[in-house]
Amino acid sequence: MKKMVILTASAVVAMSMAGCSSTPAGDSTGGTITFVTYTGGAAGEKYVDAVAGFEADNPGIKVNLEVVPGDATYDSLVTTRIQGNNAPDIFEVLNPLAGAASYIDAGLLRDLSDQPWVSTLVPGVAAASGVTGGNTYGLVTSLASAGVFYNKDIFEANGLEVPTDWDQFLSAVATLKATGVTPLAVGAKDGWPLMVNAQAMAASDPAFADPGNETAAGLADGSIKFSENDSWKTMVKDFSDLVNAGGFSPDASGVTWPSSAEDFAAGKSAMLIQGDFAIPAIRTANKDINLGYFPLPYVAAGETPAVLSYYQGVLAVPEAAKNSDLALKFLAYLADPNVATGFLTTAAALPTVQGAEPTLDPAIAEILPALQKKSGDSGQSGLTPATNTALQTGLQSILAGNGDVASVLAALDGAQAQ
Amino acid sequence: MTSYSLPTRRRFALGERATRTLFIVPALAIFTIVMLVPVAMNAGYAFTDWNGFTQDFGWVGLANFAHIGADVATRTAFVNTLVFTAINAPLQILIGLILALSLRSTSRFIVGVRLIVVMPIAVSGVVLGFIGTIIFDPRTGILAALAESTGLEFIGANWLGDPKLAMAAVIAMNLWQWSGFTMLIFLAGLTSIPEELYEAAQLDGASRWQQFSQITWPLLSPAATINIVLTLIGGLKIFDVVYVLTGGGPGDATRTVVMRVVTQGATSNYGYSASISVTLTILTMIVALVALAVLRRREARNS
Repeated sequence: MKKMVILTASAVVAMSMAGCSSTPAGDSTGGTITFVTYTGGAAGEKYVDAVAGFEADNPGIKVNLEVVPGDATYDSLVTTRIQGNNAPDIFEVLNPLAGAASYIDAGLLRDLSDQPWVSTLVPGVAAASGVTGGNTYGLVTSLASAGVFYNKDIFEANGLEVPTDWDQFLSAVATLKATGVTPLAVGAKDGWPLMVNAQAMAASDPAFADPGNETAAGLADGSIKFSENDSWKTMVKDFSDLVNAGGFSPDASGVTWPSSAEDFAAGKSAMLIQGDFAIPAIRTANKDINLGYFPLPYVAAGETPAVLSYYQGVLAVPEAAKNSDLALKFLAYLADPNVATGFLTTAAALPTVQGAEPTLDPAIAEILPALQKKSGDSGQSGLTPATNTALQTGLQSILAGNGDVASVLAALDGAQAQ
Repeated sequence: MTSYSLPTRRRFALGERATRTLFIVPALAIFTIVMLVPVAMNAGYAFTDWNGFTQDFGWVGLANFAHIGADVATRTAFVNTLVFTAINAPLQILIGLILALSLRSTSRFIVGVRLIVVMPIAVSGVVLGFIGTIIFDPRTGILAALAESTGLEFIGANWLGDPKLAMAAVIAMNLWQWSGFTMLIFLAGLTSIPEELYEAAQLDGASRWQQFSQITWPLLSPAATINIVLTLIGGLKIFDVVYVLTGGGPGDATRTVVMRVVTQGATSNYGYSASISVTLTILTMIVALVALAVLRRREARNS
């Protein structure tokens, strides 16, 4: 009798285990690629188009594009799927390239160094693979810039020129404020747009100029405290001063990022500090906008401001991917110069593979000289996922009026200590 | 025939105890695999520095738990959660009770109204959070539009961007979802109160308030106990509505403990995240057991 109980119990266990077992992989000619990304909406059109083109060229292969929130849950979703034997075949790395480090350390990503497209990467992108230990673990599909979008008509109406240093920027903010125009839009409720604001400031800070600078390394490993680092102390204070000067709309802490783009597009605010991926959203909301784009001049008079640049759409293939051959085929497709040209034109972004020549938005063309002169990478200011989250929360509380410079720096130290 | 079939039956017959065990085993096995094992594993991770990615990790003893006290963000999350629970629980009980008392009748219309009140339970908290953003958004929200069309500016306040109002908005959405559930339990309690008691009380000239305070409320004690304990537990575990509606913002103003568990787990602090969830579990158990003990004593007095 006891035996029977045990038999039944083990049958139940076996049956529930069977539910976890892997589904057979698709054959080499056909199958479905699972592609997880956090880039949706207007900014995600580039992937939708690329998938359609790939499926048309490769009958029998389907790409299942899954758009999920790019918030704090993203990495746990991806790792859970990898560990749960349900790995995506391709996923977009959050916080490129630094965000890939945890995956690489844990040996979860396939080394892509042997892929044919590696030799066709533009020099800057190829050099960035140093960040990931010399090997290439992801295809960087585009280069993005971030800076200040401005409404040329509003600037002209108020007799403003493009500011080239921080004092000029603050005086432009004051002039706009005085005439009743909200100087800056920001989707602070979503958190990450504040990150773009902070990183656009950090890009021009000489302490963070070199890839692999010591300050960033110290901030990342905890040997330098944020509350004792002059760069971050000054930046958080300057951001707080900008808030207190009425730089942002009074309700900014409750505004989402799409609303901020719509506010700016509709002329309700004169400027928007954002990445160039915002261009499709701005132009969709108002196709007639007289759009300009300049680097955030977080410098003293006479110095050259840097354009914040970052790697965008970094696509990685997990070691555990079931359809990795198909995934590699898709990456090779995206790296093809002709395909990349179309992809980048849709994405309104700069190329990462040689030979791709996208039609760039006039706004990007406008900032390109400044970008080629000086750029600062977003991964060089010493933020980790934990301190990144703490900074977003902190800047949000400054905007909402329930935080100050000291509490933000303390929160950053706290997040760093974990 | 009969004498032939008996031994066969006996061969397959199990003792009563074994039969009972056999019926429990499937459920117990599934419960163990999907619930007990993960909970135990999570509790184990609370004593490690596991980052959530790597295969190897070290034991750190009680360091994670000690850090909870030093970590301002986690402390804030505990305070927020307690504030949420302290405001939400009495309101939910009160609203649920008022709804139950006013929707006692079993007429078709009233039953229809009940259905509408109960409906939000069937909606996921995430969906309700999105509905909340449609209501409260300062640009595109229903309240903003209402404020514009009526000229009543306070309706169009920056609900999700103001620290105090954000907590109010979160509580409002939670009440919308769960007050109907509280009502259902009270309604079930009300049906068990004999009508004769009220008739007798009316003969004695008892006022409506006396009828409520002397008959209804004491005899509703079992329902009240369940409701109070469930609202307290639900409040301490609150996550989905808040996560979607405010994301914990502005700043840390509505960040709850479970949200802190999720973000810490997702930013390579899995061990620390596990220690927060263990602490919350223990806190919830203590609150629930104390509330249960106190309320049971009250029930005993009332019966």
